[in-house]
Amino acid sequence: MVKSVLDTDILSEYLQGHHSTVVSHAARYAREHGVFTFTSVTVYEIVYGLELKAASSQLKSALAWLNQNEEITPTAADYVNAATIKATARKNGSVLELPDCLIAAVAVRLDRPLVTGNTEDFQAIQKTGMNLILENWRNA
Amino acid sequence: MTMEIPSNIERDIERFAQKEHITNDQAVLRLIETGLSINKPVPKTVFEQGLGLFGSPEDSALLDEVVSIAYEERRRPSKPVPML
Repeated sequence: MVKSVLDTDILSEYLQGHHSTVVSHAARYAREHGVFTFTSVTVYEIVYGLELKAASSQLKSALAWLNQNEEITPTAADYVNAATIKATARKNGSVLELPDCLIAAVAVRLDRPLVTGNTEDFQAIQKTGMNLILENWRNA
Repeated sequence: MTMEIPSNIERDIERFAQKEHITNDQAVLRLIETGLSINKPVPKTVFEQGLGLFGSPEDSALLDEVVSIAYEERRRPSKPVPML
């Protein structure tokens, strides 16, 4: 199992612990790599949502756990690549927002698969010619 | 710390010391350390700490909302897309 970048949806399903296929993939991954990798976009989304819901104790626990893993902050080059992805996708007729483009740019730079259940939007990114590999831990 | 060791346990300690080629005192210490380590809580791995962190019905629903908000934001165009 190669090192991957986890998207927000799959990470949250593991934190909930109810989706047996996701949990089984996560357990196998953790045995090999110890910690999970995600981008600062995911951390931002979790913090934003929990702040919005005024869930301060859950925010504290989430941050304590997130901080023990590998968080990748997008670089300046990732922003440039995200802009190219977004522009190319738009020329192809797909409107993408910055978070998806940044996450994809990070995964491509690290040459790691992106683990997401949101395959539809990221397939639009694959169509821009980016060498983005997708994995969905919801599938066995 | 001093204590009386019953003769049957003392014989067991001597046997253990001979088997391990250590002194009786070292054998006593090693056996105590082993006994104490059994009861020490094993620290949870990062995986174990995260699994089910949001597992309660309330927290699961909250996290579902957080993800919905995130994906709503991702799909929301910042302004109408003009024709190219």
